[in-house]
Amino acid sequence: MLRKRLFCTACIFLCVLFSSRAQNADSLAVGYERIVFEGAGLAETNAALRAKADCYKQAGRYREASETLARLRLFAMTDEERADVLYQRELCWFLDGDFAQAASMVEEVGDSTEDALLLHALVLAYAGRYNESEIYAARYISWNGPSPRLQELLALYAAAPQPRNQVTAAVLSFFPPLGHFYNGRTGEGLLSGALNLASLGFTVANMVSGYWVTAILGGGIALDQTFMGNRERNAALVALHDRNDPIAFGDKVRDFLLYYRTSTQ
Amino acid sequence: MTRRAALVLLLLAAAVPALAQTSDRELLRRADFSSKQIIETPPAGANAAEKTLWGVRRQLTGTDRYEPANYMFFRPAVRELGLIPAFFATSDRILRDTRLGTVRALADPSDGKIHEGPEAYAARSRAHSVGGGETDGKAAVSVSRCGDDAGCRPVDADFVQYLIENDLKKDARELLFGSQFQPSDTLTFLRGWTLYQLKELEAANSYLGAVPQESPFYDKAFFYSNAVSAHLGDYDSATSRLQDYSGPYAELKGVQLAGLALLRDDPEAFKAAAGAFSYSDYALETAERDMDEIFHVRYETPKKSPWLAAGASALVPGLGKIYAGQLGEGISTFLVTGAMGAITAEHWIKDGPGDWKTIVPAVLTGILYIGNIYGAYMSVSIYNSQLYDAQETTLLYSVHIPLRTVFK
Repeated sequence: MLRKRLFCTACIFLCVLFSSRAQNADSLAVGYERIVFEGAGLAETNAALRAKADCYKQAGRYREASETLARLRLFAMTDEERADVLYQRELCWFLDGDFAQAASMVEEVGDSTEDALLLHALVLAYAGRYNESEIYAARYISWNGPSPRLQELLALYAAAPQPRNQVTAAVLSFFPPLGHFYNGRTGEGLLSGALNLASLGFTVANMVSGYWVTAILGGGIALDQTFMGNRERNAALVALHDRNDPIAFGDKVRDFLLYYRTSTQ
Repeated sequence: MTRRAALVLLLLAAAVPALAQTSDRELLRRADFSSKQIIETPPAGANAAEKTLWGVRRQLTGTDRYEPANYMFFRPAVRELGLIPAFFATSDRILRDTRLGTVRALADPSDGKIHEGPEAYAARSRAHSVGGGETDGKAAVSVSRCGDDAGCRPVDADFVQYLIENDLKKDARELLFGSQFQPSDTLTFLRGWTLYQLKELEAANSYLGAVPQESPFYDKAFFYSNAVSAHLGDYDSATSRLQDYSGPYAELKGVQLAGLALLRDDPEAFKAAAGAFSYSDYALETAERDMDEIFHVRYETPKKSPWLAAGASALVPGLGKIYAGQLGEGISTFLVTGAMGAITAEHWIKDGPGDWKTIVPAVLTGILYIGNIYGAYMSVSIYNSQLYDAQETTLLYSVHIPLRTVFK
């Protein structure tokens, strides 16, 4: 019985690999799924699913790769194999651009390999967790002993973008254009300041002239638009910085960590 | 480690060069996350004036509530409605575009905006042309042909079912369309069923409709094919096929015929088909009662009148919108138009009717006032259209969802 199943599994693998149809990731993936369907043992099932996930990964379908890896029976693996599967899942989430999901796996994956340290440093940088990223990055470049470029790395992280605070932005936006200046938008700030000044001027001028209805209703509508709009715009700018800054910084960290050896030489 | 596992690992190792793998580091190098960033650019196709308004508008509300934004609405509205209606439609849009006015509007969860173009102000056609409905996917399906039967094998239906049940539909598609199988009814049905699961409706319909009457899959394929035709807007051919059906599912036939009759706006055909309703089959009862309710609302209840709404808004700005069921829009319209009217009145009293300080707000008030009447008239029309759309959604659901229970 064992020999028969062994033979079947081997045949399926060989068919998958060398079939004239098996030329793309999709058909390879189906072949590996068939092994799972045929009721293979735990080890074969895990191996087939890993191979299937690899097909997806090579095809750039990282989310499907990660979902396939999630189907692996981790209890049937050695600690080393398990760590590698979890590493691959973190890698696939990262490559898919789901940095929060990837960052949630850092603890689980552990830090026993150089590749894991590199991945953690990148994942955490892109997720905006710069302090944690810095530690992993420093450990990564010091993997083979003290690195001559450690100071350079520390300088890079020292220049990491400061996360914008939603409350600070909201408070400063009570005094246009300070909220815009806080968000680094000087030109927009001056425009917003001018619009608010015009609304206020319109309201005061009508009050002074005795046009109270126009001042209260017209000025109220204008100020609602310019003042409240200024506050909403600043909230949107904080959200924009929160999304864009970690990606821009992550790109710098990636360039440094992936090429630091080359540039050292 | 067992011998089997060792063999598997050996084979996998052999597979590595065959797959021509890219290393993890290379993947990390190549990764491009620029699409994850928020890039603020003016709307596509905006002219210089619209770009300027885009820049200013961002300072006024932070974000636009409507898509297209008001400053991008006028030009397509002119194309769609003509100059004068576009003018009033835009002013109605401005009246509604407040926090209060948009409180009940349905925003798209993907971007948080209310997607409403000038077509919302155009009378909507009820007629559906054959095959003119919206599809979820029209991808052409290339099939690996089985020229002569040598090298072809029968389709493994169990494996396909396993793939579909485990949400591995793309794998099922790859298997069924990327491999050579002997032609069979089962293969045709499975191909149609897989494409249906992937929401590739047009292609699914061609396979489901090709399952012959002798096949054990015929009834299931037949009724699903009719449901798919309904989704594609092809009501007539589905009705014609159903009328010729003489199989064991007579009540289900009646439900689909009744649903299609309502979709075709044919009350007499509905009455004839509804004769098959028993209201006792748990799989069909809900659909039967929903269809009865839609028939009652559509043909036995008086509709809201756009002219009454327009008249109400002429008397009290915003009242017509409230009559049309848009309370927030009505209040918003009343407040904005009323405020402009009050400003005009103040200047009229203090400066006289000939002063520019009166004329400017008076003109603005006049535009907003007419826009308010036009908007009220259109909002009843929009309300009726939305009601119709909701009913169509329910009808499509009713001709489709019971199949899951009937053919479980």
